[in-house]
Amino acid sequence: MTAVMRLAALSAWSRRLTLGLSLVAIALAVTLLLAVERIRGDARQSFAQSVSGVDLVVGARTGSVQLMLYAVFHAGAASNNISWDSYRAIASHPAVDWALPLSLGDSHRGFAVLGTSPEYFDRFRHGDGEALRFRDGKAFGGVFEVVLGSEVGQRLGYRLGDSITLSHGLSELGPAHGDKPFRVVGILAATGTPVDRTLHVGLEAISALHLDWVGGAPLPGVNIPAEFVAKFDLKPKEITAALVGLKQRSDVFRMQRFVNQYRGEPLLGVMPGVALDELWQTIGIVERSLLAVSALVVLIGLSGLAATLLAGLNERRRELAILRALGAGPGEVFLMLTAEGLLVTTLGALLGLLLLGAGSGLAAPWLLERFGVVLATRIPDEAELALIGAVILTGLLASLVPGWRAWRMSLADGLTPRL
Amino acid sequence: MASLRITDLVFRWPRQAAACLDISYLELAPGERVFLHGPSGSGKSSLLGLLGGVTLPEQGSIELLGTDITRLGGRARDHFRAEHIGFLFQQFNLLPWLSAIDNVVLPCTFSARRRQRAGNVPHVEAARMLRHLDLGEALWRKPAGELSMGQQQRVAAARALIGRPEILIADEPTSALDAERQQAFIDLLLQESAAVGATLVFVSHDQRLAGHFDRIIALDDINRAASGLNV
Amino acid sequence: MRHSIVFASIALLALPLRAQHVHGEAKLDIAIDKEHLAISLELPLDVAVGFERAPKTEKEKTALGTAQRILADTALFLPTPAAACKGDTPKVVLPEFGKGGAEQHADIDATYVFRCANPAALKSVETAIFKSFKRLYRLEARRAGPSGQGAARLTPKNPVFAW
Repeated sequence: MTAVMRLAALSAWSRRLTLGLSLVAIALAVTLLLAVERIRGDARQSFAQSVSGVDLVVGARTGSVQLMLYAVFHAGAASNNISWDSYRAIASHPAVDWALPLSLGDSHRGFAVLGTSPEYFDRFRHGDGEALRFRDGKAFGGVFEVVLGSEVGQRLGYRLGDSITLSHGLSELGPAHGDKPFRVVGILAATGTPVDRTLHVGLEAISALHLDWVGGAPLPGVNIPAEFVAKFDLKPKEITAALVGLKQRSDVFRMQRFVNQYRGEPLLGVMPGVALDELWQTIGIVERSLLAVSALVVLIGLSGLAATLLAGLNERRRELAILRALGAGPGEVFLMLTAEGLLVTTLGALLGLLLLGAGSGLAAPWLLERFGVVLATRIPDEAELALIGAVILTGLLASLVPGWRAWRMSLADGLTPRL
Repeated sequence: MASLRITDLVFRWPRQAAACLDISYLELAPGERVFLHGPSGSGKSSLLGLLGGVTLPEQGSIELLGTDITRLGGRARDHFRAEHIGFLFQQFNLLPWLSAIDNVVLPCTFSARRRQRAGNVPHVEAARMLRHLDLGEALWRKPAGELSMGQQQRVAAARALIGRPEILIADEPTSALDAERQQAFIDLLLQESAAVGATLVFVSHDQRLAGHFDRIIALDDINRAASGLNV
Repeated sequence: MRHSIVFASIALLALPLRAQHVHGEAKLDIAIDKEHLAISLELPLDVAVGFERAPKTEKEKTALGTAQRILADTALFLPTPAAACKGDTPKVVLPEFGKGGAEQHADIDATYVFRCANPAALKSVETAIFKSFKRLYRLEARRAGPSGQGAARLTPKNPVFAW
């Protein structure tokens, strides 16, 4: 028995090129499968972390997910603004613990610029209720001061005291606010949330930038230099949205009703955790289809392996007859072929796991930048191990086919293979 | 005790009306060297499968060294084959990805008995045999697939003989060799099987090779099923 | 975050999710605050009794009475047993008929308040409501509490909201 298995291993090694190709195909398929599963899980995780401390997102009436993606993830199309008075009315509601105004629409080299109040740095919570921390510097005080998210600082190589200018709109092609430069006064520590990719300025700064603008474009012939800005009333008239934290988190249903029935203007209150779950409900079908497709790719890889083993079997008829003559039984021949398939599948699955580790290390920054998904490099979790187990089990089933065929063959051929 | 005794043997391929083999009696003495002549299609392969315990007859008994292998289970027949029978085929006897010497010691990894009879150090015994069979030492470590046909058959002979099996079954082992080497190889087989004291069953369709054997048997003469098939 | 077309389109897909008053569908809000578990149910009259106006016949009146009695039972909702929750008497409010015309949609509002001895163990709420109201095929449930927010779509096959 062990003699046969040792020979099986040597035999497999002699065919390492063809088996290696099967192995690579399986490894890539397993990588794909695990990557889909991991991105799916990590996307949920990182989105949930980003909104964990917020009870209600308030904005103008659009789609609930749309509003939340824009206000929290700074992704998607801008919604209408809400008035400062509405914001004050909500912020002063007795159930409200804190409210943070958000003014979006400008950008800096592809990173979103958020106008807010200095309170933001004290109040905003992410992950398991963690507060924001400054890696360097402090919150903005003056109008033309900016606080950078950790990734903004890192990627663009900014340091405290650097001077930067903002662009209007979310595109780098938008008209610039080049006449009013900002000084970097603070850089935040990494959070793994969209905060890392945001530049934070005061609401007054947003007003100041647009003093000489009307309807999204500079007023021709009018240019108010930065030093005169302080002479104007910079109190915001409008904001994009507000994040609301409640004294009692269970009050959110009541508060949402208050917002949605607000008389001053049509408002929308979104429960971010609910909106995310609803989002996952909707894209769950897409996720499952993706997972199904990658499972199919794995199946194709395993069929390829079975086909390779079957095709090789004809050339190995002599080998099997020799083993039979030496005393190997048909059962051992069956085990030999099955074990070979199982071995290739297992090695392929393990290689796939390694590739996933290497690949996620490479892809993580890109996923974070483009989609805000924090891809953690970590040991496989239960769901991933279950997938790998399923792959290996399927590989075993696929290997039964050449095993069975070899068994039949060795019974029919006996000691004299028909060639 | 006879080395081989066949009694009232009938064998039929599945789903075939006519019997392929029908042998009432055949007995070989220990150490006897027999030339079994049979043209192709005469049931040689079937007989070899039966002797090896790979297939079972429809009826009758096959006694090898006093054991009726038709009464053994499949695993026991496989084991019996490993312990007592050396096989030598027409060609491609060797696992091409193993070295020549590793091919020779193969039977000792399958059978404890043959390992013991090879002095428990199979590689030493294999080296002795290969040297004795005039295979240059430089070739021993080469993958068997890279040897010439004649060299391969000598390695195969060493493998069949290692651990001194009581029965040596050779199935047209010279058919891949050129004419002048055929007789040399047969002489070598005869000599070596005599040296280990094995009963040699040499199966061939080529009667010209029968010269030096103790006994010549025509399969068609002992197979009552042959008359129907070959007319 | 310029490359957000993917998200935007996903968001658009998700838009019609919480439409108002869909037939066969009810809404459930679960609020957890310390040891209090408050469950508010908004059940369309049509789902409960099969009509959406004031009852006209004796049969319709009986049906409404039956629905009200079924809803006034805390056993309709089962919080995680380990949390050891005890329910107060539920409050069931029938729609006020005759106001706003016959064509308007009407909902039954029911509130269930539980007091839980071990609120840390509260990880799910199961409902038996699908057994009593065969016309109900979907319950859009939302949850808010100290551990955050969540949503789930409960169906007769999946009547458990776990978090």
